[in-house]
Amino acid sequence: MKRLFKFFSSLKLTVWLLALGILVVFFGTLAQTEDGLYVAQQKYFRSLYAVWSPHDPALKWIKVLLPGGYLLGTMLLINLLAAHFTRFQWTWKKSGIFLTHIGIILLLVGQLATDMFARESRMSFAEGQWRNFTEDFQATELAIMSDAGQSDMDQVVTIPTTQLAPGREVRHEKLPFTLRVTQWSENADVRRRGPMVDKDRPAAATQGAGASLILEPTAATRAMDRRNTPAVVVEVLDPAGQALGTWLFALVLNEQEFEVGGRTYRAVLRSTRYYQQFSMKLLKTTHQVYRGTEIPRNFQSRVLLENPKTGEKREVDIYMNNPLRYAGLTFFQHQMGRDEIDANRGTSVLQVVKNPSWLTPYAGTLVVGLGLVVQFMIHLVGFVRKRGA
Amino acid sequence: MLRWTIPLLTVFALAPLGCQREEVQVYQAPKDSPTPVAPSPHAGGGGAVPTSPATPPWAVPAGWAEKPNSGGMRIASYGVSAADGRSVDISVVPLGGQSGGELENLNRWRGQIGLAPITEAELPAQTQPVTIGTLTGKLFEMVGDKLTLDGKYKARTLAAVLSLSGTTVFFKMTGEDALVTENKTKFIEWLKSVQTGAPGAMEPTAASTLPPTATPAPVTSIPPMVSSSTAGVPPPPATGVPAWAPPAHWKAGGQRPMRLATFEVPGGNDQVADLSISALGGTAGGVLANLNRWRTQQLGLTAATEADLPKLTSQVPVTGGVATLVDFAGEGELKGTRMLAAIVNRPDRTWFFKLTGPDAVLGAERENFVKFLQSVKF
Repeated sequence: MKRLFKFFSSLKLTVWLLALGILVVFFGTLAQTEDGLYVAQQKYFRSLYAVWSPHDPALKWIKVLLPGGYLLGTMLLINLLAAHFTRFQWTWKKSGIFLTHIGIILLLVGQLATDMFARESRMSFAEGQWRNFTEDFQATELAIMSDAGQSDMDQVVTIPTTQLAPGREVRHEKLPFTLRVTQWSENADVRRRGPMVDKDRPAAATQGAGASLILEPTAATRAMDRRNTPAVVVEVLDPAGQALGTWLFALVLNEQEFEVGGRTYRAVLRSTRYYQQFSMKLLKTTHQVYRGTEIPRNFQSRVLLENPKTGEKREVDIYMNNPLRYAGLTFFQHQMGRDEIDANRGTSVLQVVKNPSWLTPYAGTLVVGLGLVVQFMIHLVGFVRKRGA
Repeated sequence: MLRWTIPLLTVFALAPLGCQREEVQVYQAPKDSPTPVAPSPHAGGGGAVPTSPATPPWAVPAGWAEKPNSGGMRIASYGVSAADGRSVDISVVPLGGQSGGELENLNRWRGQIGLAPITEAELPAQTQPVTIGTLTGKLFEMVGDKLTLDGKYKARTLAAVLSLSGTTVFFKMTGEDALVTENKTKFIEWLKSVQTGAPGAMEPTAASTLPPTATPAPVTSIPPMVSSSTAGVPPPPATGVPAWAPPAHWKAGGQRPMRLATFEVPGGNDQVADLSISALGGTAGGVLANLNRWRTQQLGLTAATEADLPKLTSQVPVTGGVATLVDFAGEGELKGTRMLAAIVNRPDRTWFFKLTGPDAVLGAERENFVKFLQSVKF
């Protein structure tokens, strides 16, 4: 036990962990060329361990086992705490070190919190449109809607597509049926079934839009500016276990209806939505470039913010370096365009960041800095006094 | 006691960071509007639902005769004819992207019935809202001021434009003034009957997909029923390059982006022409749009109009269909460049065979090109 404690509190461990940290950052950065930002983040930094291989297929046999970001962070935290616990004695002389350590812990914990709670999504609308939800750029969900009793409200059950592995059955108390996943593609093209060319290929599903479509799975993309267009084929089983047929849901398809037990359900595969308590309407977009160039000078969205809970109703301008912070969310001006059809109608995409612990890095750094200053001043004062004496 | 402070504080700070898992969620949300719904196979006792492409996603008014599909940009054509020879033509044409802008389209239609073009400022006065299915489109009505039809009748055009995200659908009725007026009520009723959410009803063309950096389409507008996940990329090669017989002296080129196949076609004086073969989903924007892209961007020519098409194109029979052939010579800086291209509409996609190179090479290879085209087993 003592040896274990000694191991965890040793300064050697700290140095090793920091060195390994440098390695993980290095290999994690290299991996981005192949995996893209999001996957590399998951693999190297939000994990306990990672295995890196070179990009070149001839060198694929080389494997480097690395500790993941979570493992390193946890170990560093334990190391710091253990060291503190074994060696710490409270004296005024060491108050600076005490503060510095608190700051570092704040940084570590804050980063972990950011990692777990921060969420990026987008709000895209054309001039004149209202939005009360933001959409995830990466995640998708299968939403099943039915009338909630009120004419303009739906009861929505959303199933994250991460739960849609082939062969899985999805049941929920709010749904009187079972969904059995028969096919899942992370990225797929959906096209019309040609009566001649596809005569030997069955349609993607037996019911709904899929009955006249062909599903062609394609390689998943890792590029940051592309998104995968997933598709899923599910079989709907009524409460008695009777199969009602299969349906194809894909990101490129509209809502489709089906009926179970006399009740109509609508289902759609869509970008994961995060509903908000307030609504925003895009009033006007301003898109200015430097004369004679395509370099943006000003992208500006004027939105009307309405919150029925607080009775707020005000107009806000969101432009570069002037995000809107509201209800724990930060809205940045992200993209701007013209409506595909009506060129007189501007469209805008706001990047919406939710990060409840956005202040911790600032606080952590401040505390570390303060600790260092205090420690330095204590030494300086002691030194000056000694010299004076 | 103080030595416990930091560890305890840390544990408290970490406590809320339980494992977060993505789970099924239930909530109430306002209905999306206007979101058209694909028809339910179970609705109304589970029966006749227009999921088959053969059934049009609208109710055809009585008296309108369906015309065989000419294979052009139209997805449907109807006709009305009177005993005295007067007639009306009704068409549905979906096009990808901006489709040339409202004013351009309106002026093209005006030109077709002998009217002078109008300016942007006059546009609002010419535009009325119209219900198309569950959505609102724009209606334009114009009547010619000269006797353009057989020298006896005036022409009238009614055109409704429905803007979907990525696709614009044109519903147009044109013909003899009085007969069009007679059918106007039917036309308006017909527009109302359009099932804007029916699968494949308004199949977008390949040109409609967005480049990846473009703004995603607004969400409440209807996304195209079927589209490719990556802009303009041809269907995967797995779906097949057809069998064909290229002349012996053509050299197969390597893989090139957007292309299914490439041939290098050698001529005299070390000159080489390039043959590219590609296929795009749907009608790929239609013949005119593609022709004009080539004319303006690759050959320094001016854009052609629909009326020019018969002059510019010729038809060549190929296996299982007809190829639309064009032969353009470049102008200005591109003088000396020539393009010989064939567009073949297949049920699932549109094929493009494009031979570009020095005039001399193409002149010698024209016959080989046509022979090659006819050797393709689609």
